[in-house]
Amino acid sequence: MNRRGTAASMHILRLADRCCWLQRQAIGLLMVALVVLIALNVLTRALGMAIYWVDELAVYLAIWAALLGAAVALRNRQHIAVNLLTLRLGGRQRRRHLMLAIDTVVLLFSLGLIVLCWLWFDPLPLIALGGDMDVFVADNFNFIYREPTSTLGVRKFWAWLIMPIAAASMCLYSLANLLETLFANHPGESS
Amino acid sequence: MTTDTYGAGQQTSNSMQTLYISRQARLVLVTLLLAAMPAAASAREFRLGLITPPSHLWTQAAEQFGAELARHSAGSYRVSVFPSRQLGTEAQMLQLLQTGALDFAILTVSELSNRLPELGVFATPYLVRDASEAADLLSSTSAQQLLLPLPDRLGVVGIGFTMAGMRQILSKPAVTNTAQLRGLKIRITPSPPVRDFYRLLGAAPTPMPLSAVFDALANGQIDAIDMDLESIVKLRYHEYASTLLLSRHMMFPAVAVASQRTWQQLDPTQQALVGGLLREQLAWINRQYPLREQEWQETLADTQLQVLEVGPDFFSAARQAWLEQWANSIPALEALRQTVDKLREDGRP
Repeated sequence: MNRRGTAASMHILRLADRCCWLQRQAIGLLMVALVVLIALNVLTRALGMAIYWVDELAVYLAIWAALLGAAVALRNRQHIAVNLLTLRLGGRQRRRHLMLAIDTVVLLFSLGLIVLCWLWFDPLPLIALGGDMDVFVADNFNFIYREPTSTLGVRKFWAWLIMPIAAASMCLYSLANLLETLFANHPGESS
Repeated sequence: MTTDTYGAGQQTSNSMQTLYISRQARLVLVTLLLAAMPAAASAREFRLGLITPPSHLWTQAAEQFGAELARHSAGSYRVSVFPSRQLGTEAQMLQLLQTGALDFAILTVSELSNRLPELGVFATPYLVRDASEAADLLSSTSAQQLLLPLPDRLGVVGIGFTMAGMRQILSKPAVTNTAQLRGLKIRITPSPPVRDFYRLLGAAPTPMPLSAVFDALANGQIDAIDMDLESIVKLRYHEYASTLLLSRHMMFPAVAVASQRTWQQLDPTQQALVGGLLREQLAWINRQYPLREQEWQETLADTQLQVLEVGPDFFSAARQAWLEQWANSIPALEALRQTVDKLREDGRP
């Protein structure tokens, strides 16, 4: 790989690390909020004055934490792995090729998620219509921006925004993983 | 907590597997599956989706509709019924209807009113007295008019109304007045007008799909449920409660809808045949509830459940507050009220 390519990969790796750090802080905050909300729920319930919107908010916070966590775990290679093949493959070089294949598959999967999110949120016609929801719904039969949350008083798509965020992060992280595999232990480049 | 776990682990494993199925992907999958199902060479097969289990009146009516349609069309139409949320939630079925992958469904007004707020009018507390008045109201012209915007707004054609009887409150703690409902977690169907009724009662309304209710009630996650008598008896919720407030506080309509794509493929004669037979079944359901609710009430009277019959006065403060909040945002309310008044006048000897 030439020098310019290496520099570009370094940028991507640095960006991935920054995003990862940021998301880990976000997960921490989400988990703290989750614990506080659940404690509040238990307390108010015990006092006989349960608050009705806590349940739903806690569910969304947990979903956000889980999906951000899934992305971060992807970067850290902490996901559950079936390593039948890797254990059996002898030789550093062969194992490296397998890793490259795996990282490519994960990258393609993340790109697929982005495509699905794009189809789901369908932003272009909405922008073209200047945000006119009535026309958008009539033309596209897409109700994603109309779906209300049950108790929070906001639309559900705010909660669903975690999907494109997670998909984009996974894309970045799987690209970073792929580049890392590509550079690490590369024969002839190690010194 | 979580951040620690993430920080501690080092990169050891070599491959990974992640499995996420987004809503959209699931829709695509179901669509492909439905498209791949072998259709009979000669007969046109319609698919009808339901959230109710096979024992439910809606499912029975759907099966009867299929049999009648096959008979009247000399076998050129057949209906496959998919009960028990086999094709997904009501929201997902609505998407399938819009793409034409599903032909018919019975959808609750609770779900539809999230997209067509006018239908929230049926959640008006004590709009009607009982199931038979509810059935009469649903067959009136003023109610039928509420179905007219469905094709333009949702891409489905409203064939007609049906219902699931009247809503009651089943509670684990003993309840004899509304003050005792304060602070209780009460399961509701996800619908803003229903939520506001319980909020104004001082309770904590907890939206929950039917499939989650049994566990939540049995393990005490919720204190009470907003439910119809049929489900209380057939799903044995009463075994986990002490009090039934026989309140009949709201009606619970549903709409039989057809995919607009399917409907446009039928010529007017065929539309009249299919629509007419489906409407017959809807009317059959509507005739069943007033009779069956009486039976279910008697069944519950034989259990150790405390049954307390309450009327509009029981909830008067919350009703008043609800009307102040909602009456202006549901323009159909006035017309429906006049219809109910007229029904009562005509019914009087």
